[in-house]
Amino acid sequence: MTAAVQTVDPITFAVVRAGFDHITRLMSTNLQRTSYSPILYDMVDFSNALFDPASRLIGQTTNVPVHLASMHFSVQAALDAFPEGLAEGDVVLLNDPYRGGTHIPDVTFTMPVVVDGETVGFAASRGHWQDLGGAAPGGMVADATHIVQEGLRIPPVKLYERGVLDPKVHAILKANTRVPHFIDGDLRAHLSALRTAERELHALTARYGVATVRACMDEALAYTERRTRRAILEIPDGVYAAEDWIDTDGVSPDSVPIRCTLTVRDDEITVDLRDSSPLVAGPINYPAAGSHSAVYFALKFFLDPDAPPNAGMYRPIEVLLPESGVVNARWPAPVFNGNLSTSERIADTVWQALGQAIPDRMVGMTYGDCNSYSVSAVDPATGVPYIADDLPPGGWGGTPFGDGMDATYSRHGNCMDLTVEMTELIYPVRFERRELITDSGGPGAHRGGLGMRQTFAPTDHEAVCGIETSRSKMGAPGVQGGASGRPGRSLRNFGRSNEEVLGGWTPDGEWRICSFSNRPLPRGDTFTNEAPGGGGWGDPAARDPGRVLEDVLDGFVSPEGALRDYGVAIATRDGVPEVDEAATGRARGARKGSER
Amino acid sequence: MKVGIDVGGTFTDLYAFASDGRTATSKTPSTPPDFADGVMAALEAAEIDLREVETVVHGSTVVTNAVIERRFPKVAFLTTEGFRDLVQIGRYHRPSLYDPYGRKPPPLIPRRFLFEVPERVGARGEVVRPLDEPSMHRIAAALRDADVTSVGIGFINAYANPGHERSAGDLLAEGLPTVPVTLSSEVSPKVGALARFTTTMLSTVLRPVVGPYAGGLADRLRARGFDGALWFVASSGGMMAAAEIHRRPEHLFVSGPAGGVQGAIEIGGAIGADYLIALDMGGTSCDVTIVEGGRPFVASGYEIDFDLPLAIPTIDIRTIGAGGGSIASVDAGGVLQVGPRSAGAVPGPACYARGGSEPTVTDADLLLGYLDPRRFLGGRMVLDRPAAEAAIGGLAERLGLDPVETALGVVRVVNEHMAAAVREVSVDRGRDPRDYALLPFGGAGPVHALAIAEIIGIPKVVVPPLPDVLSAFGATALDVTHDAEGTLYAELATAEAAAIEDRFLELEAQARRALLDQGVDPADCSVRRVSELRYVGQTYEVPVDTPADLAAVGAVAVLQERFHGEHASRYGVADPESPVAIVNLRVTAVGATPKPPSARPAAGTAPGAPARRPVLFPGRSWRDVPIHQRRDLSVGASIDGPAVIEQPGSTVVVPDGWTVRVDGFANLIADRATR
Repeated sequence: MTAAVQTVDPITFAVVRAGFDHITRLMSTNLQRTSYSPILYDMVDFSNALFDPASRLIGQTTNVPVHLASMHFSVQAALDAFPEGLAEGDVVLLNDPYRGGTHIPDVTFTMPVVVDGETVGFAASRGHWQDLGGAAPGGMVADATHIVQEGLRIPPVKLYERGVLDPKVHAILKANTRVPHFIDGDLRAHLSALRTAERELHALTARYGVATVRACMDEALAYTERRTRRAILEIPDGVYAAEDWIDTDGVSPDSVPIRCTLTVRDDEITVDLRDSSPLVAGPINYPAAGSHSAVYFALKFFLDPDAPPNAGMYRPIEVLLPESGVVNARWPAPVFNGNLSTSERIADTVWQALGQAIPDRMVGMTYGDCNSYSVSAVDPATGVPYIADDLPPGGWGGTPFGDGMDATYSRHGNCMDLTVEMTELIYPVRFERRELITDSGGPGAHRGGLGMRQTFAPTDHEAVCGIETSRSKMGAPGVQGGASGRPGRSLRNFGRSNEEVLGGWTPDGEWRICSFSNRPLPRGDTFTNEAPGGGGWGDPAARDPGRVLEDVLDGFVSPEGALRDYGVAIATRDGVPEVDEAATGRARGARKGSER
Repeated sequence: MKVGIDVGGTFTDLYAFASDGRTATSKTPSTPPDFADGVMAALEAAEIDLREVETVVHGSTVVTNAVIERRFPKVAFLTTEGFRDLVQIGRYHRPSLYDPYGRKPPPLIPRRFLFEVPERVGARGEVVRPLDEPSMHRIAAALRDADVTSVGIGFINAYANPGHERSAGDLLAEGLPTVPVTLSSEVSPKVGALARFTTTMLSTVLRPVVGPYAGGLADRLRARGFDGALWFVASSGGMMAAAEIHRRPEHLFVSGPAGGVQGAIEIGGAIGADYLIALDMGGTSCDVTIVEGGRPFVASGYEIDFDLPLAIPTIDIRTIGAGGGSIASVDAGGVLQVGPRSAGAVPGPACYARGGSEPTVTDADLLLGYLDPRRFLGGRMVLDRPAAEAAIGGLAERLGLDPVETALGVVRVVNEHMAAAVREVSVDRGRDPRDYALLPFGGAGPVHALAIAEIIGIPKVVVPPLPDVLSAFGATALDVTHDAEGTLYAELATAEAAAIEDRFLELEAQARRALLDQGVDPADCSVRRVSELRYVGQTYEVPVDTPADLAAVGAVAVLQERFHGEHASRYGVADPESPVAIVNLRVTAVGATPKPPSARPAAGTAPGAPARRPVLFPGRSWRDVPIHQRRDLSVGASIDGPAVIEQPGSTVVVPDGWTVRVDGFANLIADRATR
């Protein structure tokens, strides 16, 4: 490791680098507050970033880790498409998964920031748009076998040329969506973010000069690289392999393997995903941009989480992908759920491989998905189509320091909910419940977090529903002797006499394909998702019986679960539950016996 | 006499004035856990005769501390069946993006004390499922057996129809006549269950805490002859009667900073500066607020902890971890960081010699000559210069810089953090900070303010006469306020203006009534209206001042125009073609109260030549600069930078290019020379 060449004094660097963070944060504030579609403003499924003139990521807002590296592929594709260069006021639009995109709904805008005729960097803004056509609402076609089923594929095109909107591109966008009324507002929101970046970067260069700002961009990369390498040095050298599965590609019930071989040498890491499944028929194939991102965000949790997210992190990490495969999608493979299921499963294998190198720092796996579901119809009162979608979260894994988080969005994003009352105010739908699922956390000395159950129904009209999910066969694995979390399920009419499992395990032990779309939801029926729990950490029999009792008192664990999963017997004396020490001793003794 | 008392985590500050113009101040240590001891000590230190006092206005962090430590009596919360976990689940997101060991804050009320009630109201107020009375009786019995001391009720969509909450409350009152019951529809009848329930839970847990504190304090005051009224500083920037705060203790959550903001408004108002950025820099944190037209921004959504938002209006304050005690360190990438970790008051900066050895901002200020080690806190503490040198020296070694460069770096970095916070409260809302005057307070504010103004390009800084007790001063200037709010969702293009007007009139009547109940003279009452608007399809609202009679011809059009204008200035875009919806209405009733007198500068003993000491500013070399004592400066005195002006409790550092003069209200007005 050599010391980076410092071209700016460390104090000026600290100040200007904080300015980069400020700019991207401000971009996101403005995008969120001006956008029209709920997936942007409520769920915060977007990212904003700054790039240097060589299209290297300098700074990014931290909403969506799965955009961590993939934004770079988008900006590069935008620049490659216009080799003559971009002029001030040009805005390039793209979503092509095979040219810098990840899946159809993720739309990326790139704009150069020009100071006195010199391009000092690029601003990029990406958001998940609610609908760009395709064979199911939101483009989420769980059994798609061709990319055209997933909606409008946009190669890099100039939406604005020197500040002037191209009406042809705009008209094509509006003609290819189920929700044309969102398009203008969301376009404006992205534009507001880009203009914010332009204004603020101008202010920064006016104060420090273009040369200093450019030097600080270079140093920002070197700085993150130094921090990343230092963190890698703390991981023992070696070759570590792990394997995990996606429940289904949406077409066949077969599990799809992801395999990772992780090699640590000094201050560098190589992640080899080439032994993963070949391309599959259904939409869990993942473009290269996304597979890179998944590796980076998975590693970042255990390298230097606080190092500024920029391209300096890429330097000591090599990602090896096959020419074609589920982790490197090729035309015309459908890709929608790659960004959700496959990104998470790649992260799971990276974590499980890393867990062999640093077992004392590893945690149980998260529920490992996005669980994106939608209920859509035409509002019978207004005739306006609506798509009500939410991303109900499951549990995080138990950690060496405590229980996993309950119902918290998984690693690849940090999305927020579709709020109950506002949703009911603007859509003809009603929530029946939003609750934690008792006994869903993977048992462990430190328990996995609980999954969430949500029931939702259109009010007095029929609709269609769909969901993408991938941990309904086997739960999220535990570590260090911790058990798996409860797998997920989707149901129609939960809790009623005509309850029906739509995806996941039925009470009779039949497993139904868990990802589906366009499933009819007749008038009066409800749709329920049960998100998986997180994996446990450590032997459940080592959990303090007092803490098991607390969990029982709060209903996180049932009395039956306490005995079955933890060997803790709960008795009730004078109406107050307490630990039955003698029975607990016997149950835990028997467990030890059976292990021998 | 009117007395303002601000109880902070470290110090209890007092300011008092009488109608004949007498004033008194004191600064004494706070006394957790019973902060009332410190209040009594502050009164004694200022030699206040409580028999002469008509009004005591109390700002306090008592509530904040109870919440941070989750130290509450046993309480319960009832909610709609199926939604027991709504608050615990929150908005799904996590506090730290890449932390595999993430934790969320513990709940305000443990899950075992959350009860579900079969009932349901729809978004338009229609009853979907009737309230199940037998369940209510069962729950009431269980709560009685469990000896709960306070109960909250939050039902889905209760903002649209509070009927079920009220019936449930009545049923509880039958079974538990002595236990206070708090309804979400009364706490905040606005759409948004998470914030409404969180606020209701906060109110529920605080009622058994605040009541005894306020009652106990009142008793102790009365025992010393106090026969006046006790008021509390509310989060929205007004004050509330003690009896009202018993019922609505959630309004105390941001009580601390609200007094300081009012103090800034008062100082600014006297000199015609209505557009201010108030910057309160203390030992551990820095609060920044923007003031326009003599009013702070007020917003809902303040988070009492991660993902626990408040529904009630709160002064919009940006707090960052930058204060005199902020610790400077070198991170894994070799870069200097300052804060957010703080040495606090104990052990404090290295130079306090109380056991702290890590380098802090105060240590850097000392080494650069900004502070006089013998005059800190009015001479009550002698700073240990060698300890500061050792601490900064260690940091310098790790950075490969010399100690003086390092001290300058610490000051530059912390100033940049505060400048960023100033930009956030202004630029983030589309405001140009250069159009505002910066008003620093807190002990450390005036040390750094001119340098911060320099970074941003703010041309004017106003240092008030008593920057270290400005919050207590401000508390004596607060008006009585009451906010009445409601949700009324309608698109403006098709809405009936008369219906919106009727709703505003209802809220006005309600807000006025609340003031009269607190003893305000109707002649002192005024009201103002705010509408929260958005483009149809958005869910973020923009608050807009609203004309008095919306039913008048053209009034709705005026409102719509203001919205487009505000949206454009905040976010850089507006679309006059897009339909606009009204979402929430807010009426603030204001009951005016007597204001503290403006300070008058001392006659000014014509001093001899001021003392001098070496001081270092960024980009300069060491120079002997004049050290003035503020008490020696009379009206019209003018001092060119570089200079330092000292007073008990604070120090004003004046770099090159600034001229400071004393105005007729004893403020120091710093202007930057135009270049």
